[in-house]
Amino acid sequence: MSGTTAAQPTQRQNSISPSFWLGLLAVLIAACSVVNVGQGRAVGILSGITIIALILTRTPLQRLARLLPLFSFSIFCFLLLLIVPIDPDMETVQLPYWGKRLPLQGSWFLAALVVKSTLIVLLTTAFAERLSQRDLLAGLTGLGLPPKLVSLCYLIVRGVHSLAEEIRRLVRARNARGRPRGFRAVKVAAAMAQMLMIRLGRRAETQAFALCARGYAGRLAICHWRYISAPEVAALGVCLVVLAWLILV
Amino acid sequence: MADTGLDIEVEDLSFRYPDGTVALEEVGLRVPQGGRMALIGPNGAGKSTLMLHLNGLLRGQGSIKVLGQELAESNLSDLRRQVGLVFQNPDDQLFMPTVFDEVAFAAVNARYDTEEVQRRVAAALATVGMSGYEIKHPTNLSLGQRKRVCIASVLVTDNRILVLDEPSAGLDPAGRRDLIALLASLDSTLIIATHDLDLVRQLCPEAVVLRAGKVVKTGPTAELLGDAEFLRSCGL
Repeated sequence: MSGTTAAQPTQRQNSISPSFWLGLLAVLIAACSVVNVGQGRAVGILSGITIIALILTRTPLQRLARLLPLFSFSIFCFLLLLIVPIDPDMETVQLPYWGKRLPLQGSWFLAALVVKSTLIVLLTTAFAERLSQRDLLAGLTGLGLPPKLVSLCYLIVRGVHSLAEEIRRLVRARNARGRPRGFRAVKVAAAMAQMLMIRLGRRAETQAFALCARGYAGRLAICHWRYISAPEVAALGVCLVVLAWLILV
Repeated sequence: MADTGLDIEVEDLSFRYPDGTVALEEVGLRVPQGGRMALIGPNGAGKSTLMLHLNGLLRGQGSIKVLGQELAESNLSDLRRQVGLVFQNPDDQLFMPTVFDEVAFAAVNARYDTEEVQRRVAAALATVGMSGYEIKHPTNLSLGQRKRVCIASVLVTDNRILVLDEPSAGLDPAGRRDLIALLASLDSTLIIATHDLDLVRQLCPEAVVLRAGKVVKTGPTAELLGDAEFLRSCGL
């Protein structure tokens, strides 16, 4: 072994730690989760913060495609509301221009789902734009979370990349043999989903072996991280109080 | 540690997967200190399963001695530090966010202090010719580079034994040549499972032929690979 040292991904002691950004994201997600969607001012403030975060992190517009699964789920929920039977004593709300009545409680639930989920997805997307996978690992470790939880969170994010990679391979293999049409396309998609599960299972098993072979004992250990500092914790506390005041009062 | 002159000693090792598939049947293997042994055999012969046993990741029936010590739960973590396992697909092995973290992983787990970890990572990366790639994300490297990082990630704890599964699979000719040169330059005991008979000829003076979970023949590589009829009968 030589006496040199490696150029490593260091974390400057004076800079803001990834733990702070993750903590701030957690505070904002908490705020979005508890906000009453009937309070226009609170939703406006959180929407403003979200837009500022998207602008500051220069999030590309195509990232907004991440909202598509959420919107398709919301449409599904809306269709459910349209067909749900309405009791005579149930509070309802009338759809403008259409005249159709929907259950009030269900409509509020749907509105809350759309607003809160949209804000959370956009905030997470904005923060993810500026936080690397290493920041995630160092940040979660620096927050003092249980090591197994940190490992789980990190490996889930890592797993999403493996999932995307496997899907790309399967789609390439399918397209190389001619893209199926009609009902056959559904059958092929089902077979691909089955194969995807098998491949991911095998890959997870090998990755677990690879972790254990190098001494993993429940902690994804890295060098050059630090616990969140007291001023950063104080700043997060201030953010939490200010947001709570703006949203709840 | 008892000095038997053998780094790996496997006797009557049998292993059956939960679905009932017999992967290994009374396998024996003896690898001397500093030796270079090839495990050759067709797909499904049990090579990878045997390799996972050498690191204690799978536990079958029979005896496995590493550096003279019987592999047991009590000494597993110590012996794992001595047996570096390099998987066939680097994407299965690499999971940390940077090359530095990847290579440092085993050293940090071994509880070396930060300076020692940095020194070891630098040395391991220099050995595999990957200095300067520390802050890169492993997935942004070529296959050959990722294989090198995998090897560095096990060299970092000074493994005495290096177990490699299909190290040359998927490499282009130049990458393969570089890899062979790298492996030839290492002092560790090498156990290589491969179909690449040319690599076996260049690196391993001894070879073991496996078929259907059994050791069919053990002997000098030149002798085994010179028998074309025998190789064909083994599906090679």
